Amino acid sequence: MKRVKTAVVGLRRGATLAKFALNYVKSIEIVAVCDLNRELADKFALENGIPAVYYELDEVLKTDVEAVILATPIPDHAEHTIKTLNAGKHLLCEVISATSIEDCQRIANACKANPSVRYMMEENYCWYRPLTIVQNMIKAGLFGDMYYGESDYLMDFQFRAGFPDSVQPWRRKTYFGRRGHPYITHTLGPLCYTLGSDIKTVTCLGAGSHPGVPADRTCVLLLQTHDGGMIRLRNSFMCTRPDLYTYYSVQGTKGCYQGSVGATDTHKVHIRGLCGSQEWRDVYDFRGLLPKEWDMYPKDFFDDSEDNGTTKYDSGTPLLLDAFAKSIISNTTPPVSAKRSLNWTAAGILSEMSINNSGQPVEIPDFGL
Amino acid sequence: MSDKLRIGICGLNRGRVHIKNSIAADNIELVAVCDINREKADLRAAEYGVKKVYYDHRELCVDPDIDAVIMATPIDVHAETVIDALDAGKHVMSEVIVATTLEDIGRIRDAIKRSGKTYMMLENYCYIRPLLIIENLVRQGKFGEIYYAESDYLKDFQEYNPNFPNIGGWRQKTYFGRRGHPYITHTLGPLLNIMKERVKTVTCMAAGHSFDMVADNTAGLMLETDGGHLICLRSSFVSPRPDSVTYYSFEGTLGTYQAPQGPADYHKVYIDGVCRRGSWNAPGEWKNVYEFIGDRPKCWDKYWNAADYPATLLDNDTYELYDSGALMMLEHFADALLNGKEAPVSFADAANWTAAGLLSADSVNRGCVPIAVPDFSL
Repeated sequence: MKRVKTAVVGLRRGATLAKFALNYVKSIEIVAVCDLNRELADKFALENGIPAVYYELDEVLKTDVEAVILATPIPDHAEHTIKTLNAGKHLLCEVISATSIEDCQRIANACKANPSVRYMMEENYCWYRPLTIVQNMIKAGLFGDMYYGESDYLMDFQFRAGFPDSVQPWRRKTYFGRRGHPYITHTLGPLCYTLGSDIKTVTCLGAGSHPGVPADRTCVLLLQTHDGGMIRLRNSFMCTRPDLYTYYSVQGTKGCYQGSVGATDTHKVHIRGLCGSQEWRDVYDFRGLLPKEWDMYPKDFFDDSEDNGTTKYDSGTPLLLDAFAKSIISNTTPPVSAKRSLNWTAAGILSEMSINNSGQPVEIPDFGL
Repeated sequence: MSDKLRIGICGLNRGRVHIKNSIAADNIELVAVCDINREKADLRAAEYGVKKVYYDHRELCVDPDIDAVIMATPIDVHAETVIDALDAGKHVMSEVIVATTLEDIGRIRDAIKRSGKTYMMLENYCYIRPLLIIENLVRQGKFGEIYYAESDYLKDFQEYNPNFPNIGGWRQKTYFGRRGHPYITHTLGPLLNIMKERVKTVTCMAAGHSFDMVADNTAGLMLETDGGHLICLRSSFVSPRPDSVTYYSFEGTLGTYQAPQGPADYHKVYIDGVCRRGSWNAPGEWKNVYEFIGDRPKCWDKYWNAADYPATLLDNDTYELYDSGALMMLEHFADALLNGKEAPVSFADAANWTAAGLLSADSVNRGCVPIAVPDFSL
């Protein structure tokens, strides 16, 4: 079987991705790692038997690697993405694609200039385990026509010592450095991916500012999809409550999924005709619809009875890595294409424009893709 | 006025609950009932031993033995019947929603001013059992400043009405006859009642159009308050899922409440300093609202035995809950009228909530732009 020769760049998040690939993903061969922190890079390569180590992205791009997994800090994504695409390397970029509309356009231009190169955003939440069952239920027609989705991304950084200065610079900049919901793809991506439609307009309002940071305490977004559906999102990095960042609900004309909100709640599904009146069933009752790709994990790896939706966000990442590699091997469009990645990222960036205009809706550009 | 409020009840479908609660209430004397359906009016009067029966609300409204009228008529005649009662010199306790047009809300406002009588709206969801504890915690400052709140009102008329989408009556017009979230007060009212704020703007988006009706499959709303805070609501009457009509969440600078989202979930409270804080991949601790039973309002014990609510109780049944405080509500309303206290759900509040719902249709029709909600203060 063909394996894609891949380098992992940026080893804070990248170490997790490399280990997923090394442990589970047969379609990827990790041939190099790279980090500005030489000690970190050397140590990871030694411990994991990686043949090549680099300390600069430019050095990686001179080699014969076929693909790059880019997990550098968010503010560097655009520059690193454009360099990598122009070097002819396939790219899996960590979320979010970019931090400005101008950079989204530059990335789109680089994709168009290199049509044989694959770009995919590493939106791992699209493969969140219970969602993959729901996606297959939708494909089987059990949900009818899809028209609604919602998601929350709620974390609490305000009570960490030294907030906000103690938070890593890229987090501080992305999470609290601007209004709206720039770190949007973990909420929006899986919904668009599951509903099968992307975003036409975004409308955003906030709940008042938190002392010391530009971001609102929380904000809500209403997004209209191209096919007339809608998505509701909420974001907060300063909410006084237990974290919740894998909550999704999607609804069609025949069925509904509502994720766990934590504690004793469960992942719930209702399908007209299959469930009794007022009856929720557990999504794992439908585990026969889990994509077969989950078999890349050892048998009995998951204890789904303990999945209350608060800690398993990275569970499907090996499936994502495999899907990326297979799009390269089969020369097909990756499941989270450049067009979708930039659409989702731009919706987050433009939520800032909406909130600053008192909730006027803003159109999402198509970047010519 | 005597030590009991003498009332008449118009509209005996929903009104039947108010008959029972009026009889049970310590400070209410039920004098008369009325329904345009004579058979129903006679039946209910006989069933509950009510001495006077009317078949025309205008006749009940001029009965000199009555101080206040509970108006439980269909929504589309609220304005007409409420104005008749006010003009006959009666206080009015009206079922939700105030009216179905901004003009009618204005006409009720005029009638209140010229009659000098009091109007209150019977928003029973403000008295849902767990919300009473939350309200008391908020009043004590345990939640800090409330900056965000949300609620859902999700039902499925496909599931329980064989004639869907022709369900008929006021529900047909109110639920299915317009876009946005006109039947808004059960979601919005309890939130603003606790926040003590009013709506400044409403922004609404809708989705799905699967049936022969004006309403969309679902609508989502963002409402800005005069306190600079945010409310998020969702409404649907055709959702293929178990109903959710008592879901509320409040988030403050010191604490959060989130109602149950399913059969295994419970009424959850997080208060900083009281509950264990979380860290990455180790979520903080939710406590059950009934662990705060000591913070129940004083009047609670008249209606429920606190010992029946241990912390382990789920109490997550939407239909057990939604009318749980209806008797307390009537006694509060009667007390306000008898003793000249501030109306628990005043006209200005009820009109503000109702107007936000009516204007949500304008926001949808104009592509999700924010719409200013007028002030109906007297």
